[in-house]
Amino acid sequence: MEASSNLTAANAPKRAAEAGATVTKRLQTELMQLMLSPPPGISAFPRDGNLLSWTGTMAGPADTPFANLTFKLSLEFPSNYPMSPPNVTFTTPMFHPNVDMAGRICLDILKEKWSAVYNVQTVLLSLQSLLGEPNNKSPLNGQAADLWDRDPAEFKRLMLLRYREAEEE
Amino acid sequence: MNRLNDLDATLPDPADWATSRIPDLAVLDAALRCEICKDFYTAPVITNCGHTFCSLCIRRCLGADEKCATCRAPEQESRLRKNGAVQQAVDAFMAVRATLLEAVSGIEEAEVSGQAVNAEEAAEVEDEIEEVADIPPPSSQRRRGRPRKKKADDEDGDEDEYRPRSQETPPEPPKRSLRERPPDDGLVACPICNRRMKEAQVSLHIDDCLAGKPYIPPREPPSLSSPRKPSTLPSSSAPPSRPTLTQSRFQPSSTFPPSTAPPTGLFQPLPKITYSLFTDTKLRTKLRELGIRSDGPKKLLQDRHTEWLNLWNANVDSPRPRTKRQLLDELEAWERAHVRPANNKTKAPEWSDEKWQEKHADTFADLIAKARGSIQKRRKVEADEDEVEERISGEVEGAQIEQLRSSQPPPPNPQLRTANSAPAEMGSFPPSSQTTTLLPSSQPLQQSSQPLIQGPSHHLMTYQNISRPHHETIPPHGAASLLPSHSSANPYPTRNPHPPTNPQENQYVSSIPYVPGPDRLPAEKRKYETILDEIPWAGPGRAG
Repeated sequence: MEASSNLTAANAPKRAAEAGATVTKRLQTELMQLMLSPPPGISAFPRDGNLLSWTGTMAGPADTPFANLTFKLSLEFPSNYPMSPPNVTFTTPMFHPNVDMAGRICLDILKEKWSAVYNVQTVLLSLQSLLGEPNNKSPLNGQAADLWDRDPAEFKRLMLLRYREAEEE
Repeated sequence: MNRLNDLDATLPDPADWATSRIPDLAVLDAALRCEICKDFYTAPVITNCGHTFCSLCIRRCLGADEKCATCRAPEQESRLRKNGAVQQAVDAFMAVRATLLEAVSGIEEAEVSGQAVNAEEAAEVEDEIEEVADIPPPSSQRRRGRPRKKKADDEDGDEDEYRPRSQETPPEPPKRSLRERPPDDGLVACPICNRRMKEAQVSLHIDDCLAGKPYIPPREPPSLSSPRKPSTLPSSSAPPSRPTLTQSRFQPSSTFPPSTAPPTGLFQPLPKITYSLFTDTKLRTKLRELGIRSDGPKKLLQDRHTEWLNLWNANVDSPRPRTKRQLLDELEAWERAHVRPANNKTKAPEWSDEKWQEKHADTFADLIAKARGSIQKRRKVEADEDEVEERISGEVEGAQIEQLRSSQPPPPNPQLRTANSAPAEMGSFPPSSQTTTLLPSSQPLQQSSQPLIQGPSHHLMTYQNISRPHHETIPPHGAASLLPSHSSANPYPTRNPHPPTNPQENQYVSSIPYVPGPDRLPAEKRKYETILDEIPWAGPGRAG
């Protein structure tokens, strides 16, 4: 056991340090910045000590049905981040025109409009503003898009219902 | 040993200045960073739309999408131009950063040491701010604040390009002697900071000086970062400093053996090629001509060639080009990180239960023997584990299955279970077993709650902590288990006296780097922890 682990050990730290060094360094920088100067209503941190997957939290913007609620998100960074966008999903059950029931988000900057200058903070801020200003033209959740314009009260009821599911489970 | 640990400790951040006496330096710090990698510019180039990036960063970006990362204006690699002024600014700033940080942050240090910050010292501090652009690092003349100094040394160790300069620095810049007697320059000194300026400016300056703002010499307003502009201050025109800086910047550094420091002329930019015009074989030949690996499917050949071009051409832009050998190493590293799918939602291809089992058969047997004492304790949770055991049983050899069943209820790969449990809880996620490879603990078999003989005890702690959420009630949506909560479930005990699990023992053939948890940061970055404590969701209490 000793011998075999020593053999593999020879290259391991080098590999760990070099591979994806760009990604880790960049994510560390982002983490530092989020920690040292946190933007209001937003936080994010790697989960399970894995720098490539983070949990983010986001306060619902005031004057929207989401006010006073906190939403959790999962951010998974690809190995070529920031050249590719992170995969961002809501882990808190969400009722929103541009979020499907599995938490997947339809937002251009997370897809074709991604740019390497974006970071966790800008992504979360964009999502925060998406909550208040959904794009109802291409909804992922048709019912939500419909209710958003037609019946805000019902929208809020359904949204809260779904939100509470999480708390009661 | 673990370079990432060092890296973590020395990673400078604009926020470093937030607590200093001149918080606005954070702006300067941020202005010298690439928007893409958020680090200081390395071989900066400028686009046609006027945005500056690291050469390598923007080249990689343009490879994915031929648009400027900042403004999305169409851009082509061939139109990028070196931005030498920014390079000089970064070099100059990097050279003094640690010293400067130390100089402007030491308020409480000065009080502790019983020496109130007198006018002389204040002047000195401001001198340095003024001269950020013009002086080489004052090497070791400041001995206050050991931690900072140490940090600077670490940086030097990590980035050799900055090492030579600090070594060539003359031990004592002449500005010191200049300050001792008032120079006969027709200027008068500010009564507060002793800075010399024209008489007419003094009254204006005093207000600023009292407000704690640094003195900005006329006709040179915010250009702290531009080393080219001649300073109007007599004290900063120190003659020896300029040649030193120039010398070290433009000559191959003396620490490199001659053979590894080829003159820039040897590096010519490589042209892009149109891959559709190349057959597999031709492309392979091309790669061989370039001296890089030529195996793999065509897509990989293309990606490898593109990355090589990026590395090579970025190296051409660098004032301190690296050797081809170093570039090849970088390409190797890239290959390890990118051979896996770009978006690692998919399973880690390398992971194989069989291989794991094979590799650790001895360990398993060992641990099984040691774990016999803890049978009773574990039996309670045995039911939960059945499902996982079934999974294992395919791979484990017959005899060991029996042993495992009797003595080792937890699976040989507890992370697998733990890591999967969270997404599974969320319902919406496909179970993604690739997370297993990302977990730092490398000794999943050390499940025994008895002290182990071989493994350092932090392995033990790691296991216990990792597995705890699994044995306890998992909160709704796995919220608590997802969070790096800071108390009991913390996989990286803060007070762990042992060094963190090192990746040497990481038997996963994973290219995802081992990343230390924030709790393992060296003392300098302990500020993380205090910050962490203040984040409401970082504690276990707020789950769900």
